[in-house]
Amino acid sequence: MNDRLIPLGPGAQLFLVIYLLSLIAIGAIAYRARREDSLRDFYLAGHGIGFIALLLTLYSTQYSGNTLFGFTGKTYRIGFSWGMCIHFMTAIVVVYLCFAPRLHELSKRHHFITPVDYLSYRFQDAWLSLVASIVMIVAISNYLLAQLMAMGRAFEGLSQSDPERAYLAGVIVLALIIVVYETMGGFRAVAWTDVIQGSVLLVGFTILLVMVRREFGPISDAVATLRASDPAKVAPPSTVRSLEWLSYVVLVGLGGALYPQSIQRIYAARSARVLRRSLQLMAFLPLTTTLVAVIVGIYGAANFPGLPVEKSDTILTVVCGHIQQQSLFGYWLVVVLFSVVLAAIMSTADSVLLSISSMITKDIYAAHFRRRHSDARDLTRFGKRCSWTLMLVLVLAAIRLKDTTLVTLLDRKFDLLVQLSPAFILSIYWRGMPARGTRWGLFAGVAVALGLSLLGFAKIAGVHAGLFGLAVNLAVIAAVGGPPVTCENEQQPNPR
Amino acid sequence: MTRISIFAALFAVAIPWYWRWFPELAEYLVVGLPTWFVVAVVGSLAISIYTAWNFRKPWPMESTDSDEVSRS
Repeated sequence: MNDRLIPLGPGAQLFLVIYLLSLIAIGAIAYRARREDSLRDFYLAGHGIGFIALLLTLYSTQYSGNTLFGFTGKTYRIGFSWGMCIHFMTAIVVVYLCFAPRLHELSKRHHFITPVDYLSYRFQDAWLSLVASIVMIVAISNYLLAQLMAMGRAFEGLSQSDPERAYLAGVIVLALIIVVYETMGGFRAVAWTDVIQGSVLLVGFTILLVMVRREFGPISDAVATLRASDPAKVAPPSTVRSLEWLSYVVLVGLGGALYPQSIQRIYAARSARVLRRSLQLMAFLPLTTTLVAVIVGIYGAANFPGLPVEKSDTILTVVCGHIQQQSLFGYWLVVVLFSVVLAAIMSTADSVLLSISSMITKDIYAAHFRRRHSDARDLTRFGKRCSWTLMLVLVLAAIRLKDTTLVTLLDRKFDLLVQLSPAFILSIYWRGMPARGTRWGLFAGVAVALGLSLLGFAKIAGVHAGLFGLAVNLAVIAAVGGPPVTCENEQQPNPR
Repeated sequence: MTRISIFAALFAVAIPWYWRWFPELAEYLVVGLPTWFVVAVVGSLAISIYTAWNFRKPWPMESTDSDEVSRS
């Protein structure tokens, strides 16, 4: 079985080069469109973004290289049971319903820039804010790493002779393009490129579905083949798998809603109405995206059985390679699809990079190492240097961890992020929620989640370590308590 | 509380934990897909519709969004 695409011809290469250069051009335009040298302008585009830009940046940030490679790969491995990904991506929007309205309102009133600004306002506890920043940075650095690896795999699939070199080139070249346009235009560049990338992504998933249907016949044929060769992939989930399903819904629903880059988009919405309408449409996008990834994974499992586990995340490339060989039309469809792959990966990676940079700059550097800062331009410059350094470190990690599967990386991120849900979501409803209990709850939850994972208990009876950590987290909040903190106390305005 | 109960009920139907007691029906094909999977997808659609319905009502702060009308 060939898990490579036909190397792209000069026309297709030119198409991709123009696409990638257009991203840098958008970065340059966004640089010229900046209104002031402030953290708020660089990290949240000043007064915020409108409906189309918000919807597409939310969409292209939530759906990533994991959706394309990781989800098709996981479906290839376990079959229809990975339909749980449709539910857990929907659960994220359900969780927004609980806290996005209030968080948006507070962000506008108190000029929040980073997610932790809300915690600082709400709890006024330096340790809690610091630990929350570190947890978020670690968790989404892992996510950024997964995107970089997906970039490498996308290029690897194009190489006939030397996949190692193609992986290396994919990681380095695309990381360089991202860091260039991101440091030029900040959030504005990221949101504008997300408009292109989100549109490409929406169209691309439809093309993908049409392509596999046209090439491999109706889905019933794939199901019949799979039922004969590997019936477990068609059968309803076992008890443990059903528990895992529920565990994913809770874990990703809570954790995914707390992606720092998504919280910053709640802040960046130009108005409450814009945010509400965007989230209304977001509720339906798992059906046009993750459902397609599952169906493609099923076609892959039926038509290309036998890929080893460590290669299963390349099933999308295998399917595309087959389509590409059939006709000139198929070849060009795959070229478009390859742009979709790049769009999905890069749009997530740039948002995550910007978010990490903002947290390191504002929550750690400005808050703890540079207390007397007054020069916003200097802080923005620090943020840009931070993006370059971080990207360099993660590129090296992506090269070293080449053979880790994408869903494994995904799980560890949510185990950590879900520990922040009491501080962000419960605190919206519990007006007197104590800072001391919340701080110790977060420590305990992170320790339990990481401890279980490191001891080899990433899931117990299908339930993620992160949820055991969350149970301990909540128990500690209730047990430790502390003097109630209400958010009536106004804090100093944030450095803009 | 009503909203939480409705979401809990929708997820309880959508997550296919109960299908192992109806193995033959579960794997019967509907639009080319196993019935249990189709029910999970339809359940997901129902959750999406209910979520969007909950987002239809203006939030309290929208009345003070003075710049919204002119910009959107």
